Amino acid sequence: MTAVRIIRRFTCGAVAMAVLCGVPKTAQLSQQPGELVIRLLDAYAQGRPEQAVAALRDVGDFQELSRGMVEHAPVWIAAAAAQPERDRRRRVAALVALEAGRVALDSADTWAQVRELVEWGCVQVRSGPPTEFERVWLLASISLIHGAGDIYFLTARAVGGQMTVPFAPIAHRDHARQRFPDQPRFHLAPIVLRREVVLLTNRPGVLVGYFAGARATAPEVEGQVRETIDDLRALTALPAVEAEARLRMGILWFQLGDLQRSIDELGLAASLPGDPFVSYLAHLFSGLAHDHGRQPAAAIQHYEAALRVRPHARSGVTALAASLFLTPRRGEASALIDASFAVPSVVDPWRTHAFGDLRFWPEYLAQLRNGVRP
Amino acid sequence: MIGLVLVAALGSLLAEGAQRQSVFRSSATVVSVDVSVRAGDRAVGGLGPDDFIVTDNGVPQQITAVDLATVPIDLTLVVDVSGSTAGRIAQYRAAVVEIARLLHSEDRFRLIAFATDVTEVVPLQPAARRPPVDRLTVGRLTSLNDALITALVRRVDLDRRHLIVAFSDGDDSFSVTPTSRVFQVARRAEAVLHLAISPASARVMAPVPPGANAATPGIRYGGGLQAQGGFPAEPDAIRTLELAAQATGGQRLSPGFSGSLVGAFRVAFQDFRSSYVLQYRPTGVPLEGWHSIGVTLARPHDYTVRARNGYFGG
Repeated sequence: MTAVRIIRRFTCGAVAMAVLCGVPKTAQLSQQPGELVIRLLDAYAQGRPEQAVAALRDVGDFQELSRGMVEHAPVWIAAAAAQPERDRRRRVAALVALEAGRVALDSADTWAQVRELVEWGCVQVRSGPPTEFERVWLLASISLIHGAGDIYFLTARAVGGQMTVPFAPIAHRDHARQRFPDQPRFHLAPIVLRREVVLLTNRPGVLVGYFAGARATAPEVEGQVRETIDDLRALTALPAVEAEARLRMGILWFQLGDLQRSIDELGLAASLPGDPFVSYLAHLFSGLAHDHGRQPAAAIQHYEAALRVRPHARSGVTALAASLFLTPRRGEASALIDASFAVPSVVDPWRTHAFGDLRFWPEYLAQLRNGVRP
Repeated sequence: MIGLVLVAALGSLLAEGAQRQSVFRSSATVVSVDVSVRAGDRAVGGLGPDDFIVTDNGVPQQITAVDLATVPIDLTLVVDVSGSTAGRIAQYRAAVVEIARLLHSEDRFRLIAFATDVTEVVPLQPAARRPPVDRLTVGRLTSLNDALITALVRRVDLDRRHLIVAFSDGDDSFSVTPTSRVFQVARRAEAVLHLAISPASARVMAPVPPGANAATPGIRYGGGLQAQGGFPAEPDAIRTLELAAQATGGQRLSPGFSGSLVGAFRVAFQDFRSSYVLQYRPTGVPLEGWHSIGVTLARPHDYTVRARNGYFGG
C-alpha cells in the first residue's frame, strides 16, 4: 500500500484505523465506521487504551463516530459469551465514549459533535444497579462538561442572556443525582457553570468596579449573584465540597465589593484541609481582596501563602512580584519572576479554575481504566 | 495582532568606585533620565548640559552628564499571541527576527509572549544570536497586564538601558493584575515603555487552533459569557496603560499605528537610540518618597520633550 498524504478531517478516521492496525498512515476512501468502532473497543478492552485514544485524536468526524458507536457497540457488547464480560464491555463502551469527549474538548465544534455520544455512554453505565464505576464515570463526565462550559448538557436549560440553545439540552445532572443523591459534587456541579460564576472568576478585581456600574442598569445581576451565594452556602454543610463552596462564595463577595465577607469566606476555605487547588485560590483571592482594601502587607502574606501551596504558579508569582515592587523589597520581584521561568511549567490553578472539575479528569480516568482492565 | 512590549529601562551609570550606585537606592544617588527631544519625526541632536533644565520636586538640579545614548540596550519584546493572532503567527516570527537584527552587538534581547499565560520564549541573550521564534505559538485569552508586569519589574544592570515595547490588539481578558497595578509598577520601573495598542476589538474568542493546549479548553457555552462575546473590559484600561507608558518616558504609538510590527518597533527604537541620558545628583530635596522630575529646554523651541515623570527615592 502506497503511503500518501493524510488529510486530517477524513471521514471515519482512516488514520485512526491505521493507528489501530499498527501500519503506516494511509488514505483509505472507503473505511466503514463500524470497523473503526470495533477496533477502538477491542483495543480498549484488550488493555491498550492509549492506542485507542491515539486513534480518537485522528478522528475527523465525531458525529460519524457517534453514529457508529450507537449502531455497532451494542453488537460488540452482546457478542461476549458470558454476562460478566458483557458487563465489562458495556463499561468499556461507556469509557470510550468519555475518552472521545475528552479528545473532542479541544474545539467547540467537535464537542458539539460528541456530546450526544457522551450521553449515550451515560445510558450504558446507568443500566443495572448503581456501581462505583458508574459513580466515577458520572464524575468524569461532569468534569468534561465543566471543561466545555456546557451548562445545557448539565441542566437542560439556558441560564440568563438571550442565547439560543444551539443543540438539544440534556439534564445530565438529574441522571447523576437520581443515581447518587448523596454525591456532593453533583450538587456543586451546576453552580460552577452559572453565568455569575463563569463571568466573574476570570476578571477578579477588575469586576469589583463592574458591579458598581451594573447595579444601576442591571440590578437583577446582583440579585442573581446573591442567589448563587445562597446556594453555595447551603453546600457548606457538605464536608466534601465545603472548602470549594466557601472559595466560590468568597470570590463572589469580592465581586460584589464586600471585601470583608470575601476575606472571611476565603479564610475559612484556606483553613480547610484537602484540596491544594482550593487552598491556593483562596490565598490568591485573599491577596487580591486585601490589595483592593489597601492592605498591601496582608496581600503579600497571602500571595506568599499561595506560592507555598503551588510554588512558581504564574498568577501568584505575578501578583506577588507586582506587590513587592511597590515596597522596599522591590529587588525580590525580578528574582521571583526569573525563578518561575527557570522551572518547568507549573499548572496554575488561576488558569484552570474556570474549568471546574476538569482538574480531576486524570484521577477519574485512572480509576475508570482500572475498572475495565482485562 | 501581535503584542510587542519593548521596555526601555534607563540604567544609571556608576560614577566611580566598585560600590553599586543605583538609581533611587543609594545615599550617593545618581539619577539618570532618558530624554527624547524631537522636532516632529526628527530627533534633535547637538544638545548639551546647558541646553536642559531639570527640576526635582520643583528644585532646579545641576546636570552632571549628558550622553547621547551610547549605553547598551536590553530590549524586551512582549508579544501578544492570543487567539486573535491565529493566521499571523508566521508573520510575527519573521518580524521578531528582523527586530533582533536592528540591535547592536553589545545589546541584548528578551522575548516574552502572552496569551492565557505569560511565557518567556527567549531569556535575555546577546542580540547577535538569532531568537528561536519557532517557539511562538498561538494561545487563547489575553494576559496583557501580567505580561507588562513581568517585563517592567526586571532589575536592570546599571551600565545598560532597558527598552520595552508593547503591542496588543485587544483588552486584557485574563490577567490576575489590574491595569492600575501596571501603572503603579511603571512609575517605579527602570525602563522606558512604549505601547502600540489598537482599539479594543476582539471580544469574541477565536476558535481553538488544532493542536492547542488541551489542558485549557475554552469556555464555550457557560452562562451568558460567550453570547456576550467575551469578558467585560476594565474601565479606562487603555488610558491607564497610556499613562503608565508616559510615566516611564515612553508613549502609546497608536492610534495611527499602521499595524506593522517592525514599523512600530522602528519608531520606538529610533526614539530611544537618539535620546539623551541626563544625570544629576539630587540636591535640595529629601531623598525619600516620590520625586517629580521636570525636564525642559533652556531656550524657546517647538520641540517635543519627553522624559519619565518621576521616581521613588530612598
